[in-house]
Amino acid sequence: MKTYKWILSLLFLTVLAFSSCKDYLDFPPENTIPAEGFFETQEHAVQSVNSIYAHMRTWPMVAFAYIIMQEITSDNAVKGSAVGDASFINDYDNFSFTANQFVLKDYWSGRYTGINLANQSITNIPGISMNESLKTRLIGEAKFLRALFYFDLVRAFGDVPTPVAVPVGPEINSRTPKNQVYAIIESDLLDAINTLPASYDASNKGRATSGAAKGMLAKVYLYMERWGDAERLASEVVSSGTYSLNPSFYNTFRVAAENGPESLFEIQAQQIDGNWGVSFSQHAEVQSVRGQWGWGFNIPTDDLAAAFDAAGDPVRKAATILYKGDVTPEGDVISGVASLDGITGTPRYNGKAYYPPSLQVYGPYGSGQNIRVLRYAEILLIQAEALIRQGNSSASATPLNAVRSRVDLPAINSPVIEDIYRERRLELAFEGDRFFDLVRTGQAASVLGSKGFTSGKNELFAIPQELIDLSEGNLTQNPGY
Amino acid sequence: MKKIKLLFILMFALGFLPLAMAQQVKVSGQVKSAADGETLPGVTVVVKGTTTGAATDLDGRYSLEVPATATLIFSFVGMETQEIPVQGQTTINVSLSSSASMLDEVVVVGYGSAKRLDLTGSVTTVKAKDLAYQAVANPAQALQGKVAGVQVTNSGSPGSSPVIRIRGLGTVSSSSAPLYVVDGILTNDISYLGTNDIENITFLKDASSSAIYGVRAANGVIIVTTKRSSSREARISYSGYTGFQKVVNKFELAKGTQYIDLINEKNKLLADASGTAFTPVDPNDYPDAIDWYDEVLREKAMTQSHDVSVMGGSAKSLYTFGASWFTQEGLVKGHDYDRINIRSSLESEVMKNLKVGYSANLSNYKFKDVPGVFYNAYVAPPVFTAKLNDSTFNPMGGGSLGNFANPAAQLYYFNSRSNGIRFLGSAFAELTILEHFKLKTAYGMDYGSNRNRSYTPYYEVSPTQVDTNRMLSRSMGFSTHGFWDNTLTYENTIGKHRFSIMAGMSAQENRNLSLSGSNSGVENYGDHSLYISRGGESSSAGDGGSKITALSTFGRATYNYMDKYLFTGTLRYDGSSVFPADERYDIFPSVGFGWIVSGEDFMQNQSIFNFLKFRASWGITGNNNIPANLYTLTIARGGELSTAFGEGGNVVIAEGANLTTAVPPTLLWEKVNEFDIAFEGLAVDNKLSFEIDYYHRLTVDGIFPTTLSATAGTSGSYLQNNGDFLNSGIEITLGWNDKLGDLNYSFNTNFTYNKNEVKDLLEGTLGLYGGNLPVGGFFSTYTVVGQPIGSYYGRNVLGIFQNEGEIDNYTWTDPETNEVKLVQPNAKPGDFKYEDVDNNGLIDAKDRVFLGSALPTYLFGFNATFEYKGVDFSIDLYAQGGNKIYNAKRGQRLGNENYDLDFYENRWNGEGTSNDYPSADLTGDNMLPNSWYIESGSFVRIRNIQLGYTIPVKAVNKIGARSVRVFVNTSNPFTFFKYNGFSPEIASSSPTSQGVDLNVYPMSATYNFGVNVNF
Repeated sequence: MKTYKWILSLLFLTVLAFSSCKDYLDFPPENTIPAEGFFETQEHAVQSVNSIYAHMRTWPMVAFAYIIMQEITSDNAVKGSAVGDASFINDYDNFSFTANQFVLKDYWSGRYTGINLANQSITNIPGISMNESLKTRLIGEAKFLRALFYFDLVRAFGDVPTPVAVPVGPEINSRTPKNQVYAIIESDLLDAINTLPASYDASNKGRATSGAAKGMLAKVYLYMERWGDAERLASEVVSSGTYSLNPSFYNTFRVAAENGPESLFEIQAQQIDGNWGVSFSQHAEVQSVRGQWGWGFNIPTDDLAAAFDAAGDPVRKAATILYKGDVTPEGDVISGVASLDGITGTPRYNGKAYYPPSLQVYGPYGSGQNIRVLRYAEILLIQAEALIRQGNSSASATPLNAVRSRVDLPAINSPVIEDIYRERRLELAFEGDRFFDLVRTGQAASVLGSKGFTSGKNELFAIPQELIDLSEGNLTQNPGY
Repeated sequence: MKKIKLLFILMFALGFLPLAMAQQVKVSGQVKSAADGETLPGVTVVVKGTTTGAATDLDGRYSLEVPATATLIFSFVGMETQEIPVQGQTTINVSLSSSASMLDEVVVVGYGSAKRLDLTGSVTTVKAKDLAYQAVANPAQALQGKVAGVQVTNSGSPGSSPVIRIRGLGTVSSSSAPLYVVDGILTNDISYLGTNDIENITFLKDASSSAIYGVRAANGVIIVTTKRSSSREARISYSGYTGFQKVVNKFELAKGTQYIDLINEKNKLLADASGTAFTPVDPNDYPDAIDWYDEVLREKAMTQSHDVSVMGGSAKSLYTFGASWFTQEGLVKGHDYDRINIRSSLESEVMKNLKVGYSANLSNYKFKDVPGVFYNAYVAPPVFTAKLNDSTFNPMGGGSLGNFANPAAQLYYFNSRSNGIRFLGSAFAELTILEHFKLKTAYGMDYGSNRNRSYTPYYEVSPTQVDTNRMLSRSMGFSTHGFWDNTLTYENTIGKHRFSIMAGMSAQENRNLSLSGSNSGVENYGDHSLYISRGGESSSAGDGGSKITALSTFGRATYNYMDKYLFTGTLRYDGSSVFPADERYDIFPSVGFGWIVSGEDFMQNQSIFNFLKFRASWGITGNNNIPANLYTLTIARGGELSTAFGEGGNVVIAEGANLTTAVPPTLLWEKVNEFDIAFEGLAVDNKLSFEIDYYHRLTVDGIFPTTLSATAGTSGSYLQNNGDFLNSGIEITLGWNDKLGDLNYSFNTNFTYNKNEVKDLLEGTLGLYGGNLPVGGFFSTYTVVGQPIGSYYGRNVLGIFQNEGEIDNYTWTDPETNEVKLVQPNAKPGDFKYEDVDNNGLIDAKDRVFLGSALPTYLFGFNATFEYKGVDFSIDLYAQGGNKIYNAKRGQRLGNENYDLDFYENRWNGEGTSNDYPSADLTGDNMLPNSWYIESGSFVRIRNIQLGYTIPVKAVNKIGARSVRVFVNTSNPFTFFKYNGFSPEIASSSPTSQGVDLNVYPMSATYNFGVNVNF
């Protein structure tokens, strides 16, 4: 029996050794930052909102999906680049794309990724104990940015799912009617107007301001055809005295003017030596001179050039269209390739995406250039349009002519709506509004019909097929696709 | 823990069984082997009809108190059992002769060993002599064709681990590599072992045999036993071989004017299509004809292996020492592998009942690596010489052919070395208590360190083949995998009942750490100057690490009644830190039943079957080798999540962080639910052996990506326990062993049929595309319910458009509008005519069909040996079939890449020239994944031929040797296949990208001469 006792105690020790290591399997995984413990400090709140701004400059927000769906679909631009390079883009130029085409999903997921980031902040920041005024401001910033994402979505797809908090639930698989999407945008922007400061200190320049939110809401009201509200907000921005036009149209798009008096909101982009993450944005690279600085997509059409000529507008033409052989004021000679897909004659490029290579520090070409979202010039045009829509043509002349006189164009004393349309096209070309403007103003069928635009169908893009499949049919397709 | 305690209590209860005692005499003696007169330790001596017994010591001696009238039974593995009545004798010396039957063979199973007779699962052992002569850096490479149900795909690159699949492919997103257990140490690969270190390799194929390894066992278990001393007598042996490898079945490419012809045909077609002028390339401008593979491959790659081992023992101990050196040149110039192994083991009976021991294997290897030069060698225009003169590489740029990298220069300027040390060591103590209990504790570790240095010197071969960065990168990795195992085993035979119970516990901890750094601007003054700190200001560093722990308890019970009815049950309770805290434990059970039909009375009157066993087993095993940390929600920080605010002098980086991903609610191990049913036996006077298994392996909860709605704004997909994958098949192993006069001969053959299918995916899960083709970015495979994993997916080629008329006649009529449309309006003569599968007048993504799979449906192995008066001869064959290869290298074209000769000879080059092969223009729609790129991957291979001669004992005794054998050997001398490529073996460890040939290592044959000497 002695031996048994001996075995027993040995076994007992073994069992003890094992059961004492209950913690043996319990430890956090190596080389990761677990989510628990985030959204607990003021710093986390700031970081989460910073990440929404950072997302604004990513590929689906400002590169291919942006130029393809917001410009190349319009009469301003064609694909460009070499024949056969990214030839799927031509399917958007001629409206033959189907719901399976992947750019649609890029556009969609880019914006919903931003909405998730904003929803994380909006849901989680209220629970953090921190400086209350900073808290209010940060939530306001997140709501402003969320409104931008939804504004893109509702313009492109109409009725869209509207998750407004995390975690998401079944709401992501049903489409909210367009007017309710606009209501969410309006409410977010109203909150932003009420909570955001009019300006920031030097090192926070670029964050959303109450002025930016007012201007954005004025623009949204144009789409909602609430002309009085649009006029009221645009006028508030104008009369605030905060903003003014840059004397030089050309300089408005150069780095020195960034976040300047004409700017209501820009997507922040910087080149910081050694910091690839922050320096990475491809808005300029994809559009710039092929064979010299960039890929050469999103190429101005002869139709756009002719529109500048017909308006007698050499100033904006020169700033908007860079022809091969041009020499920029900075002294760069535009050389590049001999031909571009879809262009007969001299190759040319989007001049607003020009970034003098001498400024290049780090990152892709032109990644230091802010992407203009809302300029004071557009506020003036919104004000002018809203006034005309309400029959007040003479009052609308003031803001309209402010925009025209900057580029040395003669004043129009009693403008009509077509004057506004033309001015928007020439002032805002390549800033992402042309296609949506054509649809909004009912001109799309007549202007784009020859390219393949079908009325009753192409006013909206197709809902990406994969999402319909994943929703098991709960998401419905737009008509015609 | 409760369950385990229960097991122990049960074991004690059995130990208390009363033992009868009677009038005793003391008997002692020595047991020797009849064959060579050596003493045999470990022979079991029992009194017939009782459990009283002993085992012989290291000198083969035993001593027992037994009833005077007793009969002693002497039994030892591999020997005939003898029964000797005591009849009053006090000294009984016995000589045991080898057993003819394989049934008495002892095979290792998890945490123990068992008689082959008692097995209820599918277990196959490959012996040292079948492996040792093969000149392979990694012993696993030598296993091709040896075992039914085991597919071994070798890449041909020295030192690389082959892709091994046991009973098919049962996983998509996790590792599909089997578990190796080397002398009790669980590990992931055995590339550090020399073939000569190995005594045998045992495959645990079904769940009944492998489930004892629980959550590690789902891909099958391979147990490796290294060589040990089995006798006290000192023995020194040397074995070595030297030889060379040579490229065989070299695939010919177009050369010289053949290439120029093809380029001119292609460019004319393209010019005609776009309406531009065409200027042909003048062949007279390119008078050279080069095969680039000749420029990068060695004519002969040398191999050498030398191994010395010393084994022996003293009164209470047995020892083994060994050292070996293996060196192998790769087929590519500059590709070298070199390894030194030192091993040692010791086992000692320190006290009566207490045995301790250790074993250790240290391996030090180094590689000189080569770049992926085969793509460049395949595409480079075969009209340039490698060098312009002795010191200048041909830039091969400019001109009308475009820019190409010079493969010879690529090889010359590549400078990458790897070194590593691997140490596997374990120590154990085994206590025997009350004769039948063995308590064993073992601690072991698998330590590895590796370092790599890659340097790119300054070079300017051409405007496109240029590197001015002088980049140096260096990386180091360390891993330690430690384990502590404790087992208690009870074995006994009581009357007609033979049984054993084993219970154990194991704790494991794996840690990895890696460090890497790089810098540019490092000047090269020789290897001694290559340090990151000697470079410029742009150095960068990175690191990574992981820690995984596991805690397991396990047990096995076996029972044999009358040598007729067999039962094995195993249970393993596994916990692993890689899984969420509340769900990290699971139970893996298995049961097996055996019925020795030949032991039944009704079988005694037949003479066909000497032995016949029926067995059936079922069990569950797991695969915890899933991608790490997938269920942990983590914060994304910095990088693209940061932005900058402010302008001019006030720019401030604003660090960003947020929750950007979604994780599955839980993510657990994959499970394999396996059923196996088999017949095995011996017939025709034990000459014929056979084993026929049917298996049904269903992977449940397989890790598979669940596509997430982009609307959630998080990751596009996450991995989840989402899929069921089925492998079912038949394995047949047949052997014939006989002699004709002095000629001993044997034939062994194995055949495997396997069917693979994705059975189920969670609702709402889209399939998984894989097999990415770099040019064009197309996917060539699709994994979805109803098809094998990684099935090829593409358009179906109906033929080749011979002329414009055929293009115009390929129309579709809209049923609604009666509008007639061209199906391929952009096609030109010589292009593929694709099937409009969905009949909508368009060739689009919806016209893709399944085009076969890279998974073979059958494997075949054959071996014949002949032995006649000292001369031995053996030949091995291997074949596999039913699998397809995606010949992707043919379609990776951006410009004027080279073509292969078969394409040149069969291409379409004008009306009526071919309806199978397209024109030389393989761009545009001709590049889309389609059925033309799919080829048969079946092949038949002579694996090995060996001729040996054992010099007569009298002659070798004069030089003091016991035995000397010399041999010549050739591996892979002939492979027969139809595939248009360098090798039909396309090794890919990614389950969804298998068989996609994007330029693989060419095949080679090995020729060796070797000698084995025993002193």
